[in-house]
Amino acid sequence: MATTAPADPKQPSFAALNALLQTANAAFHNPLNTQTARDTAFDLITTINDQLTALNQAVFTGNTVDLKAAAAAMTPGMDQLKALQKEIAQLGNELKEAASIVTGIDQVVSALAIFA
Amino acid sequence: MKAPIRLFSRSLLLCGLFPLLTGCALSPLATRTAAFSTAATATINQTNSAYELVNQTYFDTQVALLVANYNRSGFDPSKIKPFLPPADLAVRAQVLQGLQQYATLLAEVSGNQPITDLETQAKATGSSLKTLQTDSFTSFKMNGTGLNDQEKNLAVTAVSALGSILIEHERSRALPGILDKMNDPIQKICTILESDLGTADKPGLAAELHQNYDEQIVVQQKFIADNAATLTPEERRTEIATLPKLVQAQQQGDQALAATVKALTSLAAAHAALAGTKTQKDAPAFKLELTQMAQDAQTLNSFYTSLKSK
Repeated sequence: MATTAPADPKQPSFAALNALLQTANAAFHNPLNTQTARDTAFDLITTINDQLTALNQAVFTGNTVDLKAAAAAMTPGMDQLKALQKEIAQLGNELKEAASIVTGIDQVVSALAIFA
Repeated sequence: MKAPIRLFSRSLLLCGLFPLLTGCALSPLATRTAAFSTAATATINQTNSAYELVNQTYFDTQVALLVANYNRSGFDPSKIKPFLPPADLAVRAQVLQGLQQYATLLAEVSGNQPITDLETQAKATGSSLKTLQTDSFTSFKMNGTGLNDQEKNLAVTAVSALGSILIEHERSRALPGILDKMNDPIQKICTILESDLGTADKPGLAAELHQNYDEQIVVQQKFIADNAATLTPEERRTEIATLPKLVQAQQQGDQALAATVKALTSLAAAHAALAGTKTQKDAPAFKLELTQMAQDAQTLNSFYTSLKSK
């Protein structure tokens, strides 16, 4: 059964502020309005935008705690991954050593041949 | 006659073993993990760009408002603040760095670097031995009992093949469990980052970006109206020409953030598919998700590259 995400409590305020912003924008752009009325509309636009910015910022700051928790949950897996990386690197080093011995046999054989 | 026969049979044995041993050098899961890592890196890098874009646009809006209101309000330096609080932004940077490190480690443990290093070393050793053979020591080689170049190469090949098996054994023992363990945090992180960005019709960074451009457009229109009497025709043309550029920048910003959300969704889906198909040889479900993720990462990259070049 599909679950639905809980409604964002900020959404109604966000919608109301946007509706108000539309009205203020219409007043600002209305050529029939006086300069004073248009200036007032401009100030209102700025104020509404500040409120919307606060809502948008609240989403971001509100997520920080959850994000920290999710990031902390990565630690056990990351530790295992680092251990695996270390193990593989160690194996690689041991293989290099083994290969050196194998290829070095020829040098030993050549050197020993002096005494043969 | 015996020595050439022995050499031939030894060579045959090693040559026969080699494909068997190295045929499984990179398991299907390791190959898929490496592919995931490459595509994930591109998405992770560009997610940072989304935060930078929103912060920069907010700053530009503050500057535009300062200019518009300067005669009435003057300049108060304390009002100039970043939209994204530095402490919260630092958490995103850390998380993205963590994801990046995860992708890098996945690539490292899934790759064939130890074997490549071994082969590089073997080549270097081989060349020094070749030098040795050409000098006076050559004449002291025991008759037919020393290792010739071909045999040395085969011996190193055998070590490489055995190494591949050992490494793959370690990998197949640990990697599936790690992918399972990481899947839940990866899903949660991607969901939260997507929620940060949101869409233009919901509170979040996408709405803020869109709104900032709207505000810049209104401020620009007010500037043109307020100074209509004093602007020369050329100045007026320049100021008016700014308006469609702001609309264009708004459209591109909206698209870039929407693409970031899509790429994060793809990253989460691809990781879930990677973990979900860990025991499968062929994983068509993962391949589909990977293709989508790679495409989204590419789209994302082109959006931010285009925005940064402006």
